[in-house]
Amino acid sequence: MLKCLLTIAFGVVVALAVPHPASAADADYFRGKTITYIIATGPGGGYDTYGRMISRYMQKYLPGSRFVVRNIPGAGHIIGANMIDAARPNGLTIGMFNTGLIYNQLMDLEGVRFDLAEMSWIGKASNEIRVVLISSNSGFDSFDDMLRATEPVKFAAAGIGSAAYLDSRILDTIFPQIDIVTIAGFDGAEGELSMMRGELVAQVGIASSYDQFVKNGGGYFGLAMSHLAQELLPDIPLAADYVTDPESLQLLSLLEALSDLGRLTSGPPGIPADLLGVLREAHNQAVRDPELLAEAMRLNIPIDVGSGEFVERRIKEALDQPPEMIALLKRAASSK
Amino acid sequence: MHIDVALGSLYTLLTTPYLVMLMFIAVPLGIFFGAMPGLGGKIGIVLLIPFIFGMDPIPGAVILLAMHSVVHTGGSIPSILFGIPGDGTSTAVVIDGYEMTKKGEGGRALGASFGASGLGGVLGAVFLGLMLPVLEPVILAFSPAEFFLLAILGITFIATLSGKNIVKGLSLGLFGLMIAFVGLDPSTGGPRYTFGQLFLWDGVHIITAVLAMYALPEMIGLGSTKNVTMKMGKSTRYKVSEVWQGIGDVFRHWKLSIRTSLIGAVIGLVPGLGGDAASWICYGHAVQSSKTPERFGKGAVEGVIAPETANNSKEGGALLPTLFFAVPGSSGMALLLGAFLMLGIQPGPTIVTENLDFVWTLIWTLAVANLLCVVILIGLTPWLGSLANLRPSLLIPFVLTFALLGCYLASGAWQNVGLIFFLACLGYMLKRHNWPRPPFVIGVVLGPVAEDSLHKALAIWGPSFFLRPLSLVLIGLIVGSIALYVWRSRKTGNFEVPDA
Amino acid sequence: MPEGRIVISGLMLGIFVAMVGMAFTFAPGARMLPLVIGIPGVILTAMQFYTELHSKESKRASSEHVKREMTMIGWFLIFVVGILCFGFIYGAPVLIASYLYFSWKEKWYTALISMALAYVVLDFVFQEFIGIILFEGLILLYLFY
Repeated sequence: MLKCLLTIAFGVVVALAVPHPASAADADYFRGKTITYIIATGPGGGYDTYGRMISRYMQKYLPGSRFVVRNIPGAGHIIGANMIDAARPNGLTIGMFNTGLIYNQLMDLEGVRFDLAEMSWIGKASNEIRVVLISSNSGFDSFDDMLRATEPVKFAAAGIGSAAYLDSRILDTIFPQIDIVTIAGFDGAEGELSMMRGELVAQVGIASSYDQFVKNGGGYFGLAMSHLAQELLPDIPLAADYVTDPESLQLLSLLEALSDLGRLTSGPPGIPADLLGVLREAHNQAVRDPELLAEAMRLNIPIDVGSGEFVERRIKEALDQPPEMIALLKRAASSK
Repeated sequence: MHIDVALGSLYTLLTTPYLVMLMFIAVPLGIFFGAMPGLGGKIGIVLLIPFIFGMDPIPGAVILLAMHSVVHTGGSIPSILFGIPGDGTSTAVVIDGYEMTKKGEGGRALGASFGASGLGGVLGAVFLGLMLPVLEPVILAFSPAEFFLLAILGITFIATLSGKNIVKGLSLGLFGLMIAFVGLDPSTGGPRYTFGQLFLWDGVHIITAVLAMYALPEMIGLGSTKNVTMKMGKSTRYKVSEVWQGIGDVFRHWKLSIRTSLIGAVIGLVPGLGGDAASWICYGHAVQSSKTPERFGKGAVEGVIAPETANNSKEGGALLPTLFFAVPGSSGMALLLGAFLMLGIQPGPTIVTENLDFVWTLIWTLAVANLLCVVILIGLTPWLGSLANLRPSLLIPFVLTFALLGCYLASGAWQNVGLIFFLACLGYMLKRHNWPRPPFVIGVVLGPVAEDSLHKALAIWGPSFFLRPLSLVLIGLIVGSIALYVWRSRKTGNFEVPDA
Repeated sequence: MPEGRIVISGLMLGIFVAMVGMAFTFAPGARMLPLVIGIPGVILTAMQFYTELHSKESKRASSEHVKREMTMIGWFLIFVVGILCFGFIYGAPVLIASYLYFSWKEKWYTALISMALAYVVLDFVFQEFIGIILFEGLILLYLFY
């Protein structure tokens, strides 16, 4: 009798302790269904490439499902993000948009109808390690050299209000010894061209997007804004090594949080936990799939997997900023 | 010049059955994607990329580039037949190409377009080959200062395109510029004329503007006459002889054809000005350099030749910075660049020394694909004629649908379908009362480039940007362009009213 | 009702005046070019409006023609509203068939064949083959999205 009870007890304990994989019933929910994967840019470009690749492999791990990609560009990813946010939380609409929208929400900018803290985060596929790219013909041999500049230093950036523009203004705030003048409007590779022509000296951006430019000798990485760079770019100085005042450290910590997040997939707020779990697992398996990794290597795009839970935590941390920090950000953004 | 490498690559391209077969697949695909209204060719590249994944570099690059190089030729088909641009660069050919179709010369217009595209594509490829030794200084000579002045030069063509109705023409040109200001201001990031609507943050798309001025007002006009016997031409099918006449026009106007091919190639070489600007600047140049500019806007074949040569030659130019600096010369090239990397090709300055045969294969692919495109389209043209000569009752609803579809696909926002209703009603009234429409489209195309470049130039150099050497040359051209217009109007009296 | 040529020139003048007026509400950097372009635009359209008002030419269209124009614009509006409500795949084919049957009095089978052809092109060519999802219309978006 005792042996029988113990066996039952043991069985119950094991059943409770071992995490259940998503039950077949949950994964079956997507069988025969169409999942719309919204990409907040037009066809072509980084987000589209990642988004199409991820949706193809998620389809593989949700048997019987059909993924359909939908490009919803406009207003710097805001239209696409709003659309994902407004979708029904039935797991059938998910998508990808620019992490920089965190800034938009923090500073309460126009057009934002979503609350990133409430969205159903499914996972991340990359990181966005911010670096300062300095032109080879800038006359500066290093970032330390630039710190000693006596004239204003001209940086290129994408449109005003873009994440790259804000990063550049934050850099100017963190390093008051340099007068950084950020000139907006350089989309795509226009900034690199401008650096080659000698008009502009540097820009702040994502390290992986400058690979070819650095390989071809157009520029070098002068400074990394996140400790994540240490593994990939070990010889590059870190911004954290220069900065000591509390305000600058706070701004840097925001950049650190953002650097960890790249190519995020999310769904609208309120997706039921079990469905969300299935989607997260499918994303997790998709981004670790050897074929996807091989494809990414050939496309020369970095992969850095992160779970939906991790992304959710990081986003909430990034959004949980005191009012002084938001004021600081707004000040940095509106300075020239 | 490594003639042996150049000729060797051509020989390999033409005698390798696999590569020839890939071009035979790629060219019709490129024509198809180009002809779909509002899409542009980028979606074709995006869809093709997974298929070329495991290919070797040369076949993969050949199929992609062959497809990409004929997209604009495909885009000219709906532009000429229905006034619906396939993509932004095909907007200029609507002005005279569509008028030629209405006059019953659609076959000739198509022939001129195909011939011009073919010639432009070949000359662009030749240009690419010749420029190899002097690449870097030429690409780096053009900066935002020069872009601004080139845009202003294009804008001065507004006067020429206004014909007799100079006040109307200039007003509409300025209106086009005002429409170009809709969106986010480049200097402050603040929204202008957006009425709180997010979809207007990116401005009014050029295809929306052209559809609102051409295809849609034409259909409203056609539907208002209700003449069931009216056709868009004299015959239902275009004869191949008409097509050859159009091709012959390209060689009859050989000086213009070569000039606009070169202008297109140079503009393509310099990333930043945009492909739409190339075709419009060349169109404006054709008007200005013509002895009888009053014919433009009413079906002048040069109005088809000029933008079409530029459309294709600029791709040859755009390939240069893509291959040699890994800096894409256009948005299509940005996709190709990613694909080249995926195929294991390493763009950069060393590509000339380490991979010269590959470079020459690409140059020849551009040329051969364009020629192949011309041959295929000559065969298709009689059938295309049947489409254009449908009776109005059938033509109108389909053109309305595909125009609205093109507007939606170009911008990606459904709200543009509502916006275009109001713009098209305005366009109809303007057409009815003889306000010349080309200046409006020039304003919409060149306005954003002009403002964006001005803002950058002022931020980099301050007002002294005018004193850069190349800037002074361009200022001279602008002054010359205006002087030429003034001298002409004095000399010949008023032009005839262009019914554009 | 004034002639069309006077209406359009007045409308263009009104548009320029409105845009210049709105430009004064923008930030200083943002309003510069709209004013540099807009103010000459006001002047030119005012000149044109004045010319049209004092022109002795009369090009009034017949009331029959105006009625046909209004009818056609009405159909255009129906197309736009129909596509906005029901999208391209379902809305456009029905609109095409309706236009053919009711406006041009085409035979019913012509209308049906055109409807089928439009559906095939829009759904199979654009959505299935090219893979572009077309706008499904506000009503379907609200009901199912």
